[in-house]
Amino acid sequence: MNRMPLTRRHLLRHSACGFGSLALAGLLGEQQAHGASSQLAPNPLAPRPPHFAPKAKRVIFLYMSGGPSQMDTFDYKPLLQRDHGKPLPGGVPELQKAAGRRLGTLLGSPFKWAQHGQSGLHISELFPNVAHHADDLCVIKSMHTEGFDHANATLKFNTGAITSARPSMGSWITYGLGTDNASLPGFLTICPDRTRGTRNYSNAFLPAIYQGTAIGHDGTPTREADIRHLTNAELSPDLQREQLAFIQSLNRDHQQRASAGGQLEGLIQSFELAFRMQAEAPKWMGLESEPTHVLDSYGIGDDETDDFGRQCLMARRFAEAGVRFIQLTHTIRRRHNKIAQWDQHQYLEEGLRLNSNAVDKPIAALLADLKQRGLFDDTLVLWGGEFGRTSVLEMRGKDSTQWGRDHNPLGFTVWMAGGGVKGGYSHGATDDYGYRAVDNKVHIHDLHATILHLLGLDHERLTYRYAGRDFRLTDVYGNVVHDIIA
Amino acid sequence: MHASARRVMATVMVLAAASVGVARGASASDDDLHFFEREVRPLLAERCYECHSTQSKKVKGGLYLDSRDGWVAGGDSGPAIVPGDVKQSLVLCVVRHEVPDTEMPPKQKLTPEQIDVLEQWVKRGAPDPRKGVVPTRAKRVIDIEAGRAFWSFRPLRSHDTPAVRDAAWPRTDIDRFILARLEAAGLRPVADADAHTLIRRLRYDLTGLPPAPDEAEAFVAAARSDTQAAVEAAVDRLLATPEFGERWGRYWLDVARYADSNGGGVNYTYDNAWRYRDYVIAAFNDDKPYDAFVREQIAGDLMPSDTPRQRADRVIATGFLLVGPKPLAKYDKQALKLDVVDEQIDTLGRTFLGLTLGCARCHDHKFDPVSQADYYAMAGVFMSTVSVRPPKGGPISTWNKVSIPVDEKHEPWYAARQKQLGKGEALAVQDADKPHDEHVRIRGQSATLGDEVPRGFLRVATRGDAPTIPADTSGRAQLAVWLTDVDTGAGALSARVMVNRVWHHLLGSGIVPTVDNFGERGERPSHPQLLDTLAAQFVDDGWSVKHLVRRIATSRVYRLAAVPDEPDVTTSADPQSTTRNPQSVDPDNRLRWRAEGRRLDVEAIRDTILTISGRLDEQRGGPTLTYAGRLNAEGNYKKLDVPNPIYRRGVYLPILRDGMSMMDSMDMLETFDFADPSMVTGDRASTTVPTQALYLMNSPFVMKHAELAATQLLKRDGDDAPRVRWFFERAMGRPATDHEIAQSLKLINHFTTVDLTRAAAATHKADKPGNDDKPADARTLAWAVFCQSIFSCNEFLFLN
Repeated sequence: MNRMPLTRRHLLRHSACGFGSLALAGLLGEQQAHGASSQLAPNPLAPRPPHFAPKAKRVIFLYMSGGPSQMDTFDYKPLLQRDHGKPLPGGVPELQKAAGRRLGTLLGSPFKWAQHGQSGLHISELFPNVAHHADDLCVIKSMHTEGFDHANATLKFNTGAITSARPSMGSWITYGLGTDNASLPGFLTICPDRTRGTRNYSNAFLPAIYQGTAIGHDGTPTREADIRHLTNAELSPDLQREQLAFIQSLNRDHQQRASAGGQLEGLIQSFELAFRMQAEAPKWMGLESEPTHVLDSYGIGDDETDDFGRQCLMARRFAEAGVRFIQLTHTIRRRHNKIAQWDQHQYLEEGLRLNSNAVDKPIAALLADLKQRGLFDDTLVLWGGEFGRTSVLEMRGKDSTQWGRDHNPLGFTVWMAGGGVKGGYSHGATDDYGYRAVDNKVHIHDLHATILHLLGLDHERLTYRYAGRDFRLTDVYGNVVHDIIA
Repeated sequence: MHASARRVMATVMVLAAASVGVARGASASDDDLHFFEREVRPLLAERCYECHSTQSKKVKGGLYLDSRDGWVAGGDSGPAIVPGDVKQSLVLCVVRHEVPDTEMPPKQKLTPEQIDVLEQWVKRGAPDPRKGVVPTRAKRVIDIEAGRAFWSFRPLRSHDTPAVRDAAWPRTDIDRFILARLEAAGLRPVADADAHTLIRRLRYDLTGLPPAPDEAEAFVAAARSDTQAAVEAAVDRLLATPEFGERWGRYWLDVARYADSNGGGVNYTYDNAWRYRDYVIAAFNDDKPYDAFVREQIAGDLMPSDTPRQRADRVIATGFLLVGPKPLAKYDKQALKLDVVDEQIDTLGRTFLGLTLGCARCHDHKFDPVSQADYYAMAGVFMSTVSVRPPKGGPISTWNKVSIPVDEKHEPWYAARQKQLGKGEALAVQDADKPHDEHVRIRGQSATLGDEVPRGFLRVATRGDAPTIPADTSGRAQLAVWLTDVDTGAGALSARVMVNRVWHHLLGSGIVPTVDNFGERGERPSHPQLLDTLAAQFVDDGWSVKHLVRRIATSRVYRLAAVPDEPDVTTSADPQSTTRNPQSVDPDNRLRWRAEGRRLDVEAIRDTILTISGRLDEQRGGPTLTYAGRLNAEGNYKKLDVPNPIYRRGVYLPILRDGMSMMDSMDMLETFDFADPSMVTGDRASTTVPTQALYLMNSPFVMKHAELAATQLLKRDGDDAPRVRWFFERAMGRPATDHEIAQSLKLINHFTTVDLTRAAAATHKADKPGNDDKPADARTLAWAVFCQSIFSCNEFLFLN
């Protein structure tokens, strides 16, 4: 192990208690980037160079919790419309049969479809505003995954694994690239679905600094979303600064007497970062400074779009601030007792309208805003849910108007935009009824490999040694989908 | 389990495994060869060679399609083509997408015309003039005998205590082993820690709680005359407290990946898991011999018992096999069983043996002498054990439960909570009606059967004849004995692993730093002879954990100071001037020339804050879940996030796998590196992330208990200065210096002037649920700021 020159260590030891530690963190990060190690832990969040020239610098993941129906949104299937009411040729796959739900005949999409943009991508009437950006979208229609229930499929999407605890995509990426803003966490997840478990944004065996920091959670309105314990209910920042000065003076004395120098230093710095976060995060999270026309464009203030509009605008602000991985989660906070999330077992039409109305305008505004600010080209936007849905109807309740579609990991759609992907491009295909991915199939592992590739990371080289083995986001799988890269 | 496009299902396998037969076109006609060259070769080259040729960057599935010998030999799934037989030719099955998840080529299906070409070719007898050498796969043959020479698989033996030059320094044999190595490296151990530091270290290490000020002073006084005697007396006293089992039981629960719920998609509470938790705590308090402890957790239900109580305990012990995460909703129930068994084998391997056995599920272990056959020999044992039960309707399986007699004297809460908690049941396994051997699963895929392997144990850790498993039993009883049999089984390894765990907890890092990995990929022991000697003594002492703790905690090595990392390290007076700077010789302190400071774990931090605020609830054992059933919904977690927070020791908090952040009262655990209950964790992370700082600075929990601590403190007689002095001693185990007292009083006086009552009144109701005290006055609030500062400072959070 290389020892740090005494002068620099001395400098660190005696000045780390002030705001100067920010600059020092940068110094240390720079040292790490050049392969030196030191006993005082270098700032693990300092930016690190990728393996090769990246197309994208950051990711905004628009997670549609529940599993949006592909054949009602972006995967147009004329034969499904034509054969509505007929049985699915070959019968329902074992996977869905085993779940014991009442599945019926083919269910044509109740929505109107049109081609959009120069590319002529098919998009249903559910996304009129996103459709304006058709020529920016790279739609992957041949996704497939594992996990028949939400929690497992969500884990698969976010971590690539179901049974074992593995780091999430955002954690891997922050581990690989660090972050550009020293006063904010590198991986933020806005209103995550807590009932699915924190494993979806967990660092697992990666260092804890790479875990996703949650801002609020589902079930609370976005306007109330906050980082836990970010503010002190009793002490003003000035008073807290005085308290912190007292704590750090005790720490300074203690450091003269104790070993574990690196960790003690880390703790001292973590208080400084926390204090900076208290000041900085609300500035980036707070939308008050945004002009009215921007708020309006995201649909903020409008009951229907307020929640996700705020998430999208926050995402743009965090992207500007240099946050590496920003995950948004859209869930409907039960306004109708049978409609929850993008999970249309029943009330297909009503449920999809409710969901898409809540996200369509905000997403379109985000894409436009990123472009206007010059962030679109190096920001990878990813839209999708944990799986797709069946082409056949699921019968819950007596009335056919209540019917919907069941879970389906065998075929579904995600789309990407910006960040080096082809615009107005459609990749892969499901079968004639949109049930199974058949052509140019893209597994979740392939999607992960591709996202890392766009960020300049080789998914086979981004590894972490844990319990005697080098682990990857893609385990032993994954092929980069080169066809979609611009 | 990962489905892969390259997976080949059993049905296809069986078909294709039929013998290749004699190729009908052994001497192919010119027409056939022309057909091959014109139609087949370009097709194979274009669509298959990328992954199936000697030119491939990485050959997939071990299959080569660029020579006749390649497809004759076939890949992992057997011969790829049966000449003349389109039905049994695997290649045709996969290009036609006849078997889900085995579609080839994986990205884009061949055109019907292309498939037709391949069919024609096979029908013609697959004429193929291509000669080529199929690369013999670099298949590593596991050499069991050579594997036994690896350090961790060798037989156990005691080593002679080495001679040392400085005979005055050592107190025990441990010290002589350590000192001999230090002297050889030209190093000296640093000075001993002072008595205040020592009693705090002992207190936390043995019980997880801070010393009371009078306890500390009594120890300091005793140590003044005879430190060794004072340490020995303190160790004996602390080993006898019930807090010992709570501390060391929690360490065990980390490696047993204990949780009170299943986690994942169908997150049901394990209503009775607490019985296993209490069994573990009692085992450490009763100093249950470790070999018996191991055996009971694997096969307690199969052991003869003397009393109903013992019988119940032993059934409960097998909860070890069940408290892990299980993919209960998996629709393929056979695959589900194999997944559960895999989790059990992997946990057993890491926990008891320090081996990553799970790696051998899909292939021979890449680094350790563990073959896939070894894995499935053990899988047979657990597949012959009932762990999960099929659903009674719907897709969700359940876990096994066994009725146990409930002793109401032992469980006074039982009657009161019977309705909530169900019957007297334990989360426990039992033998299956029809024990059977398992097939190797090629690439770990449940449906792809290889050879059948008799139930058995790891060969590398077996000497002489392995125990025989009677046909009508699972073999768990024999496995349990094998695990702790020092002469013929894995007992030597088990003893080493446990000794190393105890050393790790007492000295901050193991003799083998990778405490859960004693294999090739793990680190080597820094002091192999010491480790072996301690392990041999451990066995001789009847596997007594308390003896082992005592042996290490009364050594002089344990007593070293955690001196700062500076060049001018103070060394013991040494007449010889050859002593070198230890930091440059051994910067990682693997030779143990000083103690390492460590951050306290979350239970210790939390339990200490509760002790100081006077709110620690000392009730031991029993259930703490207040809701039983499926979680996965906000409302259900609310039922657990009780209005009256649980102020019992951390070990009794309900651990909801994947759901900890749902409960506001539990978020401290995740924030401070609590062990992820889905993983075996012998060495918790110890991070310093800003969310911890935010928690200490702003959380209602810390603020509330700081206020309570201040209230307590102000009730003490006397002046402010002695109060501050006392509080330092209470929180950090040493009296404050004059300088610290002056600074503290300055802070307190300043915040009294500021007057925080208005701000506090606003938050009292909203943010401090459960605070039943009347609003505090300005003075109390100022003292609360002081108390909270102490809870947030490094010295409080660290153990020196």
